[in-house]
Amino acid sequence: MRRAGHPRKRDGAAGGLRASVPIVVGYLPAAVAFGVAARGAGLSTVETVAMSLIVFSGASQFALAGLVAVGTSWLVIVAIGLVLGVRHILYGPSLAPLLGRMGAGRAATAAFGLTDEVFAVASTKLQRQWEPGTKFGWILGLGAGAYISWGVGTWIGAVAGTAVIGALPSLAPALSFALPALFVALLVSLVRSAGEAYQDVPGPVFGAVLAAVIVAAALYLVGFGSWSVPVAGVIGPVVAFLIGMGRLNAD
Amino acid sequence: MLLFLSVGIGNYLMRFLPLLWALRGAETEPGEPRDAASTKLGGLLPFVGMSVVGALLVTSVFPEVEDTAGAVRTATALLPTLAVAMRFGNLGLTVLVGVSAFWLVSLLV
Repeated sequence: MRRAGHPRKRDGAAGGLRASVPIVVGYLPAAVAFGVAARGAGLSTVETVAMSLIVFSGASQFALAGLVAVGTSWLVIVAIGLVLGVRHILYGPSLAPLLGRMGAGRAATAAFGLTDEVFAVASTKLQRQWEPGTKFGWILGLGAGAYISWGVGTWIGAVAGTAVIGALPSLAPALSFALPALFVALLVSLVRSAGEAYQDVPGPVFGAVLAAVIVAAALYLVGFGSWSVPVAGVIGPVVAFLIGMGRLNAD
Repeated sequence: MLLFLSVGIGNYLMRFLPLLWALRGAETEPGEPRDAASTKLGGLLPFVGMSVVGALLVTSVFPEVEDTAGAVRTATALLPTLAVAMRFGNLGLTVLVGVSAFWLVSLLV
């Protein structure tokens, strides 16, 4: 009999799929909302689903759809899409000690599904003492559950969402609020996790967000809307750094 | 499609390369502390994400508030959206509540 917490090698992928259920529950409505928002931004159903299958990053995808809708330049869209993904740099190094020995091919496969939610579940459930083959199967199953639900949800939103809008035209303007709502959810999540990490110095967290919001609003109002996000993405961390340095000097 | 490929490849490399680097580092330098530059960069990265999302929130809300009715609809819908995001922290639920709230308010205002 195997001990609890030590799945057999062949149970790895199935265990990962089971662990992905909470992610699937969260992803399906968000992916449907993305499908609707992307169609509303002027993308075709094929383009909308292709974006989900290729990019597989909620924040970047919503930003892309929003920026395409307002006619932002190609280079700025790519830059913003990449800036939004910068946080992913931290996930691999955080998970590596739990994954142990893993070849480049397996790492390349596992890395594709390493979204915020997959990372969060993996970092809490993946056990250091599991066999290497089990770990790979498990993280593959976890990522596959998330990926499939994101793709299927996007397709449902892109296809059925349009039909719903046709039947209920008053829904169309309301669906444009899907973007602000998602950014509210992401911002709360990011501030909360950063707040936990910087419990003793919350100033840099709120300073960064406040500075970014003010800069973005100011640039938008003076007609430089397409630059508001990248500039805010630089100013925010700089303000956080300055506040952090100021506190260190005061101490 | 080229746009999606550019962002998709960039995002993938940001997931894959640090993982590969860390896996190889773990094999060759067990217990070695991270260098100062990596630590500083890692410390600033969370601020980049939240700053960009904060700015995206502003730029996504502004087109909705071009008149008084739009401002009222947006401000009213933001309240339950924020409350659900803070209470449950679920992306999908927050989006659903936000869209529903905006829809209901727009029927009245």
